[in-house]
Amino acid sequence: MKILVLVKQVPTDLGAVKLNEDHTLDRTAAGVQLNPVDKNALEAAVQLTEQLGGEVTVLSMGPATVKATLKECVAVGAHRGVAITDEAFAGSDAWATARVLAAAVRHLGGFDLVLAGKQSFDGGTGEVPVMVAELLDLPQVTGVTALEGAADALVCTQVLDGGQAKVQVALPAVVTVDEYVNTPRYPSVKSKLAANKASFDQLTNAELAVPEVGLAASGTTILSATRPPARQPGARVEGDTPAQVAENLVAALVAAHVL
Amino acid sequence: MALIYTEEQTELIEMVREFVWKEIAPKIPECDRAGECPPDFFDSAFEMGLHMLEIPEEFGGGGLDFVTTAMVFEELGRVDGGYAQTLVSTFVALRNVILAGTPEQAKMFADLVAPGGLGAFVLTEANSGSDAASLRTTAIRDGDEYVLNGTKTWITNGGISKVYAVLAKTDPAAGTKGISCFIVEADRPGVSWGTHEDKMGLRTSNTCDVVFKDVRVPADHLVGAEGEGFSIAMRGLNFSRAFMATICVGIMQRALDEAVVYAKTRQQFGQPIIKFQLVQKLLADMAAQTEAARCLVHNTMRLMDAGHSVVKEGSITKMLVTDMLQDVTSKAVQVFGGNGYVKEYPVEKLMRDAKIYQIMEGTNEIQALVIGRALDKEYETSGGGR
Ligand SMILES: Cc1cc2nc3c(=O)[nH]c(=O)nc-3n(C[C@H](O)[C@H](O)[C@H](O)COP(=O)(O)OP(=O)(O)OC[C@H]3O[C@@H](n4cnc5c(N)ncnc54)[C@H](O)[C@@H]3O)c2cc1C
Ligand SMILES: Cc1cc2nc3c(=O)[nH]c(=O)nc-3n(C[C@H](O)[C@H](O)[C@H](O)COP(=O)(O)OP(=O)(O)OC[C@H]3O[C@@H](n4cnc5c(N)ncnc54)[C@H](O)[C@@H]3O)c2cc1C
Repeated sequence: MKILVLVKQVPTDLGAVKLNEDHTLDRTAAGVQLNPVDKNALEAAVQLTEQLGGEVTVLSMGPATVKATLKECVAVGAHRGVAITDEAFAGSDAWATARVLAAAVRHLGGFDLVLAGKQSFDGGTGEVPVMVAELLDLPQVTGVTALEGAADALVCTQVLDGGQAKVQVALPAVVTVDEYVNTPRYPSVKSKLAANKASFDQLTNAELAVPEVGLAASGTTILSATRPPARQPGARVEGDTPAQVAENLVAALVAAHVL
Repeated sequence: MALIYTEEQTELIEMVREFVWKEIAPKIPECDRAGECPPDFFDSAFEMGLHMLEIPEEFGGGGLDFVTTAMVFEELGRVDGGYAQTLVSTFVALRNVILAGTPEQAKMFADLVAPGGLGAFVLTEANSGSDAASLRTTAIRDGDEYVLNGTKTWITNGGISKVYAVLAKTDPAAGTKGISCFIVEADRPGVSWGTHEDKMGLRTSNTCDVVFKDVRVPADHLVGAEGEGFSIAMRGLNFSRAFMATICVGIMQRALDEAVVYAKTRQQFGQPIIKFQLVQKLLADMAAQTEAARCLVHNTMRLMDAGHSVVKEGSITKMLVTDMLQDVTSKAVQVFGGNGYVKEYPVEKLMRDAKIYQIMEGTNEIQALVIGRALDKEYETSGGGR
């Protein structure tokens, strides 16, 4: 089974992300990591190829630093990594991102399954894989909590309000997973060292030829962006005896209209 | 930070750090209390290959040099000495077989631990500790086999290993020259073990008697020639002492980390206690000893990577680092005051764990003897370099 996994590089520390004047984000101070739930998507892909044979390719659009993320993926079982890096893609919103990713999936070709995370740790729209599926005219199942694979179909479990659904989907398809689908493995020392030697293919818009890209192709316009208010420190309830502490606590709860 | 790390080393250390703090550290207090670890406790370490880091790739290991392996084990020691010791004892036993045995024997041992198993180095007996040559376990040749009889004591990983490197007398009448080394699989008929020792510290490391009663092993399990066992064991100990010291550096770093953080938060006389110069002196000594220990271990590892046998240097490292470890962990308790003395805080465990390192792998008195003997020999030939 040939599987493509979409992986996004996200900041490790959202608090260190700066808001630019034009409402874009300055991530330079934040450090980077592989989007946590994308680890689950990759683990699902590696497990499927361990059962059924095949190959896992990871694909990421982002700045030159995405190579570090691809390396991390190779250390836990991806066979191949492709970076989509082009200045022209800067400022892409979900739709602009999805168009580039869909073009890359078509360009690379021949995948039985596209796996992705349910949503990113930073943008968090959960829209990108959905749009990729539509652009490629493929069936999709989102937010999957369990996966059983066969050569030509997958059985996916989704959690619904008050129950579960099992959905069978014919391949090729796009499937997004949530963090309950599996426990990602740690890299072994050997695989980690081997990943240091891995080289990655790179795609730019020269190969993909997406007509409108980046900020210009982004239909959404961010009108304003603000940080959530800083959390207020908690209040300490004190007293000389346990009974007094309890009394003071009740008084504080009454004053705050909790009781 | 006293050492210069390559990008590869930094990444490896970070990977191991993330794993060990997330997966292992939370379970340590309960294992320390119980004095044992759950059976699957080392599975993730096996998957990552931590029990075979420095073993060549041809035997299924990570193929790392000693310097890098030591850096990783300092990280493991920072979280728990016993956890790190369990893994070190495994590759030390295997390394003995690699150093002294044939490639087939190394493979025999490695194949048992590579997929997920522990190993042990089996020398000490109740009446043969520092005086290792006086051991009484016998291995008597019988056709194509040897038959082992005897009781070993204080064996790290004794009750949880898949395979042992065992020292026994093939010629009970001879002294050191009568000792030979054998590979013995733990599932051979006649192998049994005693109860896990209820220790003061290092309680996450399994220690017990291993008993051999008419245990038959094929003759190809003899490592090296008959009579070479004692020199094999001594060579193995030279090698393993520096690795124990790297675990000690990890424990020292942990003691320092805990003490500084505590001193910055604990208030007395209206200010954090780190503002008192006498507390600063405690911390400064701890930092100086930790950094000096790290440099010493690092240099010994470099000598080992360059192929030196480190007879003297391994003993110097073990003696000095384990002595400093006592001081550093005791000072950490001092910085914590009364809180340092109770199990609710992490530093009393460090002090308990520290003590064993002055005893095992040859007591520090024995290290002094080794260093003294090496000096005697060295100056006989060099005459002091004048
Ligand atoms: C302040 C601010 C607000 C924003 N608000 C919006 C908004 O409201 N609407 C909007 O469209 N955009 C918005 N954006 C832009 C948004 O960050 C990007 O559009 C982002 O690419 C959208 O994806 P996401 O992070 O939501 O991914 P999601 O759709 O949440 O990601 C789901 C999965 O898709 C895959 N994936 C996502 N991105 C990539 C990638 N680059 N490469 C490979 N795989 C990927 C991963 O598997 C991921 O787990 C905003 C940006 C800023 C700075
Ligand atoms: C937790 C633990 C794990 C261990 N793991 C292993 C293992 O994996 N494999 C293994 O084979 N063994 C192992 N040992 C055994 C360990 O190596 C011995 O305990 C150690 O060598 C000391 O021997 P002993 O306990 O018999 O002490 P003794 O030899 O009885 O020593 C008692 C005291 O006398 C001193 N002394 C003895 N001889 C001299 C001398 N000539 N000059 C000056 N002072 C001397 C010693 O320094 C010590 O202070 C372990 C021990 C412990 C406690």
